[in-house]
Amino acid sequence: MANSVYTFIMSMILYSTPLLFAALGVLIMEVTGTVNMAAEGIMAVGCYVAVVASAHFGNVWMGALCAMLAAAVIGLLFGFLVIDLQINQTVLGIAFNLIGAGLTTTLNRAFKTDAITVRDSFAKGPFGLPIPVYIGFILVAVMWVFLYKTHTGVRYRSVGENPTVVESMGISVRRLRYTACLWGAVFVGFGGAFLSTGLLSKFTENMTSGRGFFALAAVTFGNYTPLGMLAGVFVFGAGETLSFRLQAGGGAFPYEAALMLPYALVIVFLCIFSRNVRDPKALGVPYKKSR
Amino acid sequence: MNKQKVLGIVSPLVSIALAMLSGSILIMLIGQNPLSAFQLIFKGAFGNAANMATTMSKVTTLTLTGLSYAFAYRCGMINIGAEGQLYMGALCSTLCVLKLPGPPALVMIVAVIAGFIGGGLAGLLIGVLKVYFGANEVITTVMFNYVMQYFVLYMVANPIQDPASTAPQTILFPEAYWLPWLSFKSKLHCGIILMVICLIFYGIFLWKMRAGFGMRIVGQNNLAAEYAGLDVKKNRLLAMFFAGGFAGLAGAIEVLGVQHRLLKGVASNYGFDGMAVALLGNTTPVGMLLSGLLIGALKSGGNALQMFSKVPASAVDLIRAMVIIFVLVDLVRRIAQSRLEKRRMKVNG
Repeated sequence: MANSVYTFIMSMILYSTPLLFAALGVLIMEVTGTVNMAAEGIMAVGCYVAVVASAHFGNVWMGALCAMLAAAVIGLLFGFLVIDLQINQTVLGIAFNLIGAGLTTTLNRAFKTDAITVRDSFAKGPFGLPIPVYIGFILVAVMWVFLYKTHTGVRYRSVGENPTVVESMGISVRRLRYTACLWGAVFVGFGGAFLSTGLLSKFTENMTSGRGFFALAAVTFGNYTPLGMLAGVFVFGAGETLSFRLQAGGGAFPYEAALMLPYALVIVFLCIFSRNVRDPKALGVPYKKSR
Repeated sequence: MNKQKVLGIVSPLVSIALAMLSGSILIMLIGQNPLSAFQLIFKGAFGNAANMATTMSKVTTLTLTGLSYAFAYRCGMINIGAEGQLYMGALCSTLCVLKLPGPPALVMIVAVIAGFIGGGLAGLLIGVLKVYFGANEVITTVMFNYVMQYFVLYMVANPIQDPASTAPQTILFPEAYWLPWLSFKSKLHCGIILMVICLIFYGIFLWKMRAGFGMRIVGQNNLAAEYAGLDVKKNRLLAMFFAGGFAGLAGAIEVLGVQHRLLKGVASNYGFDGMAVALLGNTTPVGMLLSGLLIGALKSGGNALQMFSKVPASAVDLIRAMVIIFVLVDLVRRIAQSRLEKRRMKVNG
């Protein structure tokens, strides 16, 4: 019994890791007031690029680096569209998801990317988990210190609450939000890379299957704090792990119900906890500098 | 015609052109000829009477999912859940056909209504979660799409599976339950009439009726609406019921008029297509009819594209997504506006 609990927790941590990185990316963008509904699409691109680049260089870290670079480009583009052109962030994010899905599916079918198996894998640390898992945990701590114990971090949070005040202190709201978009996308891109080259060693179409939205839900659940977000990530990661177990179980539990489980779990958790969540005041509101 | 009206026509056309251009770049990137690809799409969509009927049936379904997005949008909600609501409508219709006794023609009519109500209740649920629990409707609708997809998969693979088949699908409905044909030869079903009725209803309700006017006020500024004594919660719930209802009706038409059975994957991305239809059509009835024609033609031609060339049908999905982006960027209006501002500055300065 104790042994099976241990293995369940270990696989939960492992399966939570792509989600954790995505949620870190969503968090950094949303505290500065930018809604990141594009996480799903950026993740998909990360998955795709990581597999192609890992196979090309024969090294998963190079693959992850390329995925992060691709994500960074998308993040800056997203930033340009929402910060400078002030387009509705939610609708644009969904359009980005459609582009991520359309682009990776088309490229996959044209170049048969899903036939590639990546031979390299991430080195393992203590407890037999791959190194990025530990990096994820460290980043949660770093994020906490950054947001609550550094000047820049306080500015990040203030810009999500009241950008006018931050601007009046002589700090550029635009620059802060661009930086957040860049880092946010990079984290999400790495989450995608770890999904395709860390958990598996190949790309399949639509492999993100809602994880970008799980990340969003985890950030909301955690009330925009790093530790709360981590808890949300584990809850939804546990849902995924349980779903995999039940799918493989072949018992009385219907296969389709097992597939449905993680998504239903997110809905239930959002219903229970959304009421107590306080969004950053300027979340989703474009900032217009007064002349 | 005044300048605003000209912009209203030119702007979406430019967005379409730019989206096609970026689609062409992708097609060139995978080593194919974009011109012949668009030719194939056009032929596939309008080449002969049968193709045109297929296109029209796609136009019907995705204009309805477009209406679904538009109705919620006009009341200030973002409904990404047309997919799940379509599944719900399709399932309710199917259950009517399979389980209800009585004359087939009557059962068929009940099934259409059941599709609308089923989808509507699914939409209402999202509204309740938003209004009473504060759950973000974008996340809940995306999750609900997955839930419904797997629920329908469970149903067609277990309780209502065709016993003679191993595929996850129900029996082929007896012909008496099918939506009547408008033209039997080309297999054009009468769902298109229902779609047009819904578009007219949408136009009249939102622009000619008091209740619809209130709903649009809520969509534009919910605080002002509350101040004016409008019930924001009630309006949002009603909007989500209608939004879900249109998507559910799309599902009913899809099973009763197109597939004639319920099967796995019946929604095939119609939800997101609908979003493109709504945004490109600026959520107006005429605009959505026109954009429905375009997106429907793209979707229908995409299959021909995949069949007769090396370009995957998903390239069309990408073009559809680019349409959304360019509509949002709205290049033409932006340029017009910045020129206007410059002129004003000259006058003032």
